[in-house]
Formats: sequence, structure tokens, C-alpha cells
Amino acid sequence: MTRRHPVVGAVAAVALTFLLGPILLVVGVAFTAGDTIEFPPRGLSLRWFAQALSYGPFLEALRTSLLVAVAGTVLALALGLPVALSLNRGGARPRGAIGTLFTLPVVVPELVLGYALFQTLMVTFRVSAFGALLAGHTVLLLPYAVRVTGASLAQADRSLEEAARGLGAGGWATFTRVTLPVIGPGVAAASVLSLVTSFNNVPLSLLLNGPGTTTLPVAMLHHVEFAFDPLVAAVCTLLLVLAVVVMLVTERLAGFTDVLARQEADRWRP
Amino acid sequence: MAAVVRLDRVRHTFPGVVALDDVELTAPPGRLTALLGPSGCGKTTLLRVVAGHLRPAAGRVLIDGRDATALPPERRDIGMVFQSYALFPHLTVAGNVAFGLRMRRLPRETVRRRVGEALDLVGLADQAGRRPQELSGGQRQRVALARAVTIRPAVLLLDEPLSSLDARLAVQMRGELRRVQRETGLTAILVTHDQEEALELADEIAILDRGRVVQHGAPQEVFRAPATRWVAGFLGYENVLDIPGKGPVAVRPEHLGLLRPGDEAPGDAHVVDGTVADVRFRGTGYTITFRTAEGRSLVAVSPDDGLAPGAPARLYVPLSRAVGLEGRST
Ligand SMILES: Nc1ncnc2c1ncn2[C@@H]1O[C@H](COP(=O)(O)OP(=O)(O)OP(=O)(O)O)[C@@H](O)[C@H]1O
Ligand SMILES: [Mg+2]
Repeated sequence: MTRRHPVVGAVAAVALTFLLGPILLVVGVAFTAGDTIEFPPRGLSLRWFAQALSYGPFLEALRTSLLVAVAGTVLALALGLPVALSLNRGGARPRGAIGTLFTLPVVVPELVLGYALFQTLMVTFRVSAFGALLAGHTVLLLPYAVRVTGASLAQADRSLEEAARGLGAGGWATFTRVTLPVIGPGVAAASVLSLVTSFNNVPLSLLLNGPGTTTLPVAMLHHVEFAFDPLVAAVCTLLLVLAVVVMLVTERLAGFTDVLARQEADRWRP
Repeated sequence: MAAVVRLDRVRHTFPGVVALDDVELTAPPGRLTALLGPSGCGKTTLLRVVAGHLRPAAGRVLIDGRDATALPPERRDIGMVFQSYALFPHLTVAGNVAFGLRMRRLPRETVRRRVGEALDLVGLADQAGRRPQELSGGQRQRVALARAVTIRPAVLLLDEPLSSLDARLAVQMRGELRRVQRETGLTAILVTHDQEEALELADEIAILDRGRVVQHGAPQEVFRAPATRWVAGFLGYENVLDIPGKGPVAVRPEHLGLLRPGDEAPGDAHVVDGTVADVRFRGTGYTITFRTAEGRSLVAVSPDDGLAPGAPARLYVPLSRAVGLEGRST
């Protein structure tokens, strides 16, 4: 058994307090019966939750967020899977130039990416705000799609595909009937990761903003700039619940952490 | 139905390795040809070329005389049992066996009947609904075999199908493999590095060393007359010694005889004097290492251990068992 140094325990306690403390505070505030943000809450009620769930701008923003997250994920997977396939099954080298290219957006500051897309797509080419937003999110999600599905592909036994070909399946039948089912958990993990990443994104959504394309985080940001009511606290609490549910469901369905751990192991392989 | 497979000067290199070095090989129709060779000599590479998963850098693959080198695997009519079995984890046993039939778009009834027949053939009819992960190694191997033969291919390729089984199961499966191959009358190429398995199963044996076919013939012929010193060593002719008038010869440990004090050597035998260097228990008897007067090391097997290291000993080599190495290449 290893004994922890008392300082480690103390640092952990401080870190936890700073991480969890404010979150607990927000959750507490959300249950207030009063009209302003104050802690401890003035009486207990669910009125701000009811308010949040019927507040038009937020509902519309939620619709936009979900639409962009789902469409962006589908597009990122549709583009990312072929890339992952050619990196892992074709001639291209995963750690070569192309492999790096598809992980690049991760290191480019999203504000820079967002501003560049805003300038090119919306200003120069007059693409609609929604089109630009969707393009931005797709570019943002692509590296996740390529990496996570790629890790699954690298893990899968290549002879499964050879076996399918030998049994008479062409390239497409092999992909749909063998490759895809085998890397299913990886595709599911990539989807969840993409959905969450897109849903949480602020910088891109902020810059590619236009009439009717405000996402939920941006709408919340706008709201707290002008109002001091606990509405956003209630939304935050609902989002927390959603995050926990998503995590639990994914863990059950696909062994999410397992896939991510494998991806991590893959990254450090020489 | 059975086809002739011929490799015509097939060559393939991976970075830094010549995996197949101008391989010439013919697998006759309806017979089982064993490919025998040490690890890394190119056996799997050769099968992948025949099956079409690897396009050779040079040379041709001929199936029934037709050039198949550029044919994709799904159009070669070749069944393959992979070293790792490669069973589809998302399908049941029946789904695995049915895969090739469904790709051929056979009617549902026909598929069902032939899956049943194939599973009967390998004795797994009662496991049809299970997943590969729920089966034992031997059962998985039989599913892989059923899946490969049910498409009634012209050629069956087997990549060390018995190597991951325990010794007893491997011997039992050898018989089943032989039976299935005989019953279906397929042309089969079996890769193995187990010489006993090759000798027992094969109609013909080809020995591969560093990407080259160094000997090809009937099992008895290959076993009794290894073509090179290397083949002799690989097939277990561990002892090399000089016999006056015969030159260097190779002898298997089990063919070296031990003379007790007072024993007479048989007529046509060569006698060697030496001392016992080491005695090791090997279940059915003892492995005994001798050092001869000339300083050579010889290995023999003996049923009892009445010998201690350091003791003087006399050995004899029946001349009929000695394989002459003179004139053979290394
Ligand atoms: N995909 C590959 N990339 C690079 N080198 C390879 C590849 N496949 C095989 N080789 C090399 O080619 C040589 C022959 O390999 P092969 O797999 O054919 O050997 P094998 O006879 O089947 O060995 P084993 O008995 O261990 O299975 C080896 O040196 C191996 O390292
Ligand atoms: Mg091999």
C-alpha cells in the first residue's frame, strides 16, 4: 500500500473546493424562489426551471445547438471515416503529413479559425450564417472523428476484412458488414465526443453568429451580460444533469473510457 | 472442382526483407501440400499472395492455368483459415459460416441447409447460435474451417490452423482436418512449422527458408533425403559426424545406438567413442549428450539413465540411417 503525502491530500482538497464549490453554488442558486442571484437561496422553488424551459430565445438556441451538433457530427463522421480508413488501411501513414493535417485544427486557436471562416465564408463568399456555423463545427469535429475511429481501426484485426474479401465480399460489402460493425463502439464514442464538443463550443459559435443561428452557450452568454436573474443558473443545472446522463449512457453502451484510453495509448506508441 | 495452384517466380519484398525470393511452387489438385519452414520464412506472405490479399512485386499466380495475379480476393474462389481464425465477432457461429453463402446471394433455404451441413461436418451443429468469443480454441478453429469449406472453394488455404491448440487437441484436429480435406476433395495448402504435423497430413511437403523453396516432394522423400544441410538440421537431423569413406553424414538422435560394455555393434554400423556430457529427462526416456574423441557433440535418446556425466560410452550409427551430406549445399 502506498501512503499519500499530506500535501497531496491538501492540494486535492483545495482543487476540489475550487472546482466543485462554484458549481454547487450555481446549482443552489437555481433553486431559489427569489428574483436575483443570491446565496443561500431565498426560499426553494422550481420556478426558474419552469422559466428556463419556456423561455423562447433559449429554446430556439437549443434547437440551433442540437441541429448544428447533430449535422456537424454526421458530416464529420462522413468525412472522417474515409480519412481514417485510408490512414489505417490504405497506403498513407497515420503519423505522416496527412495524419498531422487532420489533427491540426485542435491546435489552431478556435477564435482564429472562427474569424478566418467568418471572413472567407460569410464576408467573401456570402455563405449563410448557418452554413458557416455548420462548416466551422464540422472542421472542429473532424479531428475527433478521424482520431477516435482511427484508433478503433488500428485496434481491429485486419484479417477480419481479408476473411470477408476471401468469402466473396467486395470492398463496400466488407466495409458495411464487417468493418463498420467491428468498429461500432469507436464510431459511437466519436459521435458522443463530437456532439458534446460541438454543443459546448463558444468561440466558433460566437464568431459565426447571425440571425437565427445563436447557439445555446452564446445565448446564455448574451443573457448574463444584461440580466441578473437566476435563469442561466437553472439552465446550467439542467445541462449538468444532461452531461451526467450522457456520460452514464455512453459508458454503458460503448465502453467510452476504454475507447478513449486506447486512443491515448495509440498516440504514445512509438 | 479442385484446382491446380502454381506460383511462377513470385517475388515480394518488405522494407529490408525479401519475404518471397522467386518462389516456384505447384500445389497439385485435390491434394494437401504442406508449407514447412521456420518463423519469418515467408509462409504467411505466400498464402496472402495466393489468396490475393497481397500483390507480389513480381511473378504470377496461376489458378488452373489462368493468371490470377491481378484478381481481387473475392473473385478467386479460395477459402482460407487464418492463423488467428478471424471469426466475425458480431456474428454467431451460423452467421459466420453463412457469410460467404450470403455474399453469393444464394436463396435463404439453400444457405440454411449448407450451413447445417458444414456445421455437421465439423461437429458443431449444437453451437450454431453462439458467438465466437464464447467458444473454445478448438471450436473456433472448426468454425473457421466450416466457414472456409462451405463456399466450396477450389482451393483451401490453412495458416497454422493448429498452432494455438494444446498438443492433444492439435493431434485430434489433425485427423479432422485430413478427413474434411479428403471428403471435400479440395486442393489444400497448409502452413505449419510443426514437422510432425506436416509429415502426417501432407501428400506433398515444400520446405521454405528465407523466402525460398529449398525442397519439395513426398513426405517420405523429404524426410529421408533432406536436400541440404539446412533442411537436414531443420528436420531434426541434429548430429553431424564424419564416417570414413562416406564423408560427413547427418543422423537423428533416435537413430544413434548406445553400446553397453561387451555389446557388439551390428554389422553395417559405424562406432564412435566418447564420454557422456549431459543427461536430461524427457518423459519417455533420456536425452543424452556425448562428446566424441574429436570434440564433436552428439545427441542420442535412451530409454534408461544408467549413465552419468563423465562416464565413457560407445555409440553406433546404422549406416542405413546416416544421410550423406557430401556434395549437398549448406
Ligand atoms: N506487412 C508486413 N510489413 C513488413 N514486413 C512484413 C510484413 N509481413 C511480413 N513481413 C516480413 O516478411 C517476412 C516473412 O513474414 P511471414 O509473415 O510471411 O512469415 P511466416 O513464415 O508466416 O512466419 P511465422 O511462422 O512466424 O508466422 C518476415 O521477415 C516478416 O517480418
Ligand atoms: Mg505466419
